[in-house]
Amino acid sequence: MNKKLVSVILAFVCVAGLAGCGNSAASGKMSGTDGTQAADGTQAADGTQAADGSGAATSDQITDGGSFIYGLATEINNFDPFTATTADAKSIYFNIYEGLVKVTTDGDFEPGLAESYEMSDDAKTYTFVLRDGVKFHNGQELTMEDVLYSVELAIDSGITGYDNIESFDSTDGKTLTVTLKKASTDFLADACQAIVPKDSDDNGELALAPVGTGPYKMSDMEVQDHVTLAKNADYWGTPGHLDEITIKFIASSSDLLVNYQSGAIDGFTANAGITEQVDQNTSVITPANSNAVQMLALNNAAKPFDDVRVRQAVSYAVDSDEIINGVNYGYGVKIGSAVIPGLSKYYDDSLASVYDVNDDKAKELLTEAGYADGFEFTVKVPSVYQVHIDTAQVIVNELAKVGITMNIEQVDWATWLDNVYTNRDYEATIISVDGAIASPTAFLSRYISDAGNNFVNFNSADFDAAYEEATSAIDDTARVDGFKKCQQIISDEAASVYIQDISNILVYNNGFGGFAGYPLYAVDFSAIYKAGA
Amino acid sequence: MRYIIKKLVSLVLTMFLVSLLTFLAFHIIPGDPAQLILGTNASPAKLEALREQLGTNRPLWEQYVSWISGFDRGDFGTSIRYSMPVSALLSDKVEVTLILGLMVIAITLAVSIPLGVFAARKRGTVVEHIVELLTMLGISLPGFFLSIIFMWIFGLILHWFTPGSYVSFSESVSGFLNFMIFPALAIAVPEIAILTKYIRTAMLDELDKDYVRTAKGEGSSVSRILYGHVLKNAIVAVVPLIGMIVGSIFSGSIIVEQVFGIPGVGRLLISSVTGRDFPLTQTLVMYIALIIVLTNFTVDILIQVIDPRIRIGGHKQR
Repeated sequence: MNKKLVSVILAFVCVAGLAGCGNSAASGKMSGTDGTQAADGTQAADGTQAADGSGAATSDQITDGGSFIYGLATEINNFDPFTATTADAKSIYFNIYEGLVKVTTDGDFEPGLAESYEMSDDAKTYTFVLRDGVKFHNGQELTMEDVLYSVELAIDSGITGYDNIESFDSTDGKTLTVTLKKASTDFLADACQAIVPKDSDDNGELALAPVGTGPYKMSDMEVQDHVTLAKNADYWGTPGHLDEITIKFIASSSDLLVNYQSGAIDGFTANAGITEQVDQNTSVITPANSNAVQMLALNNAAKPFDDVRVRQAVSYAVDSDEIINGVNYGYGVKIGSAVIPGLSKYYDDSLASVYDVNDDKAKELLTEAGYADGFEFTVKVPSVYQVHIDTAQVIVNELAKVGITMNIEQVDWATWLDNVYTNRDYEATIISVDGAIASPTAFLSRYISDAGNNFVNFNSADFDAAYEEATSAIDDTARVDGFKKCQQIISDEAASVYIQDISNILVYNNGFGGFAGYPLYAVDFSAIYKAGA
Repeated sequence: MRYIIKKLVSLVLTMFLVSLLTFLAFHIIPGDPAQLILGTNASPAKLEALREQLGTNRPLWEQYVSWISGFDRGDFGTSIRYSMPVSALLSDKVEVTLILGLMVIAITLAVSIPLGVFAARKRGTVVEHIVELLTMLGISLPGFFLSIIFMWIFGLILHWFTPGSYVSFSESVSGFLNFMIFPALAIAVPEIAILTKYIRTAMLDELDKDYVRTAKGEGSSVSRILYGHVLKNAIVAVVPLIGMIVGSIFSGSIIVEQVFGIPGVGRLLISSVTGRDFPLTQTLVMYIALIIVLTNFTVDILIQVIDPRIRIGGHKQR
């Protein structure tokens, strides 16, 4: 009992530490997105690794009805599937909108609003046959007009993959044909993009009043407080179990625990440390990969990280295992690659041990590079992510052993986006990078020398060529080998230090079950049910 | 009268300076609201389009001018982050924070006046030391820490309320008050401590004065002396503190609303700053500044009325 008290107090102290900048956590992430998540708020699980995504309620009986309150440390106030590209927003509107194709829990694809689809042998033409009898939340029937409108909107909005569309058309109002400029086997992942009613988003109206075809529809929204989703009674597929889902916006990630303990929320996703403080008898705790790559990103264009030997030395000096155990209580997967293990087909697990900690080797490389006495640099860490700050503190000690002095500078999320991500004015940072779609391209495309989001300034002609080869490969084996080669080059060049795929811990009241994990950010509310008495 | 006009001019000037400082602060801190909304997966074209739509691609001074030019019409612009008129966003938040503030003031006065008098009356006894110790503790405890302690004790252990389950005023008045009493207490404790200390000191000062000795000599009862004369004079000495307290209530509520999850002005302010929502931040800062400046203005006038001997900023008349 005493121990528990202590941990509760500790939790409070954590809250204390964060209280001041609480909401910044929220906005950080919301706005944050791709880069970030390591931490809280967003549920994301991974098909291969996620322990038992299928949920573990106390009873096997599923009761329909009831409601579930999900706590989120990020406020979502944009539900427009064409502009809200942040991970948290996506994880929620996953339930509201659907695409022609849907992603499955193991990262594969299944028919969504298209009852069937086909890719041509040269991977340049895709055909989708539209499903009949689907209704939007506003009662309107889904037609090809809506699909054409949505595809057009996706192209205009610059959605990933849509810039590759040469033309798209439907001759019979039932079959959509999409022709690509360049062969791509990735378009199915892209086709998960939401389909919305024609003309419904001409002025971004969907941001606050989303209309989709998914199993849940928006029913209520209060700024800074909550969003309520109601079951879609007309859903074409397997309907959800719960009548109502409330997503409650909690000021900061550390307040999630208090809200959970008080019963204000039924479930949330958080970092590993929290599991110690949750009552194991009434809760189900499911670790799942966050599907984001936590890295000590080194600015390859800034001295001394422009020298590959220095980057390698840092890679040898950083001990991922120590970080996983010390910061994440062991809830993390060592990676060593820029691609998440969740994409098991492409992920090269041999890379995880390439830079196993070796201080002698690190010193040797430093001496070779002319830094025998070490050097000093500053790491800019986004203050909204406690996990990255903690990681930085561990790395400070690890680097000190080889003579490198690392100073930590905490910056707020907006500053991070400006300094680090946009202007690349930094030496190093710690961040988790996730993928927009369930494909290795989502993780690797940012390493192309002239990519707009190549914030580590990685510059390798070999990589550019290898990436080009991998993406244009139609044959599956060639494609897999191609992406593995890309990862190999990134590892050889030590583009950055790839630490881990941090596990997100999904915690929920054991009166519920059915939580399913996906290899991208998504919380599938339709699978959640209240366990019967 | 000249005094009041002078004060009014300085009031307007203060407000203008506040708006200018907020603007300058926004100018200095980095951050692009469009990038914050769209995240790192956004395409450059989309970003540019959103900046255009939000008007954030204009120079900041232009945004400032357009914001201030709408101000006199009561048009505070459109929130960047919530794509809603600022005034619409504010209306429900203001009443929440206002009620919270009033609760804090009520609690503070109700507790600190009797406590201060009591401590002064028990001068030199153990009771006085205990009160002194408690006030020291109250002053040194930061609001957020108290919030956490209160949530733990009253929420998780005693179950007097459910942390995180904010009940809105329109849903249930009693539920709202039941929830709000705890954040109000968290903000009030340091204020109570300060005020008690001041009242006690002021009382002691007064008690040493000749008129008290005279009254005692005349055979008045201690209570009559304390409440009839001493307290009245002591309160005059404490009135200037009220302006300060209102200021602390606002700064306190920013943090406490955050911790308790109350959708009020304070919480909105934090999210507007982190979201680089210029029109919203500017309006909120002005709004808070206005209340504080007005309170101080009122306090100054009030002091004049209570005790005409005092001329703040002017020459003392004896």
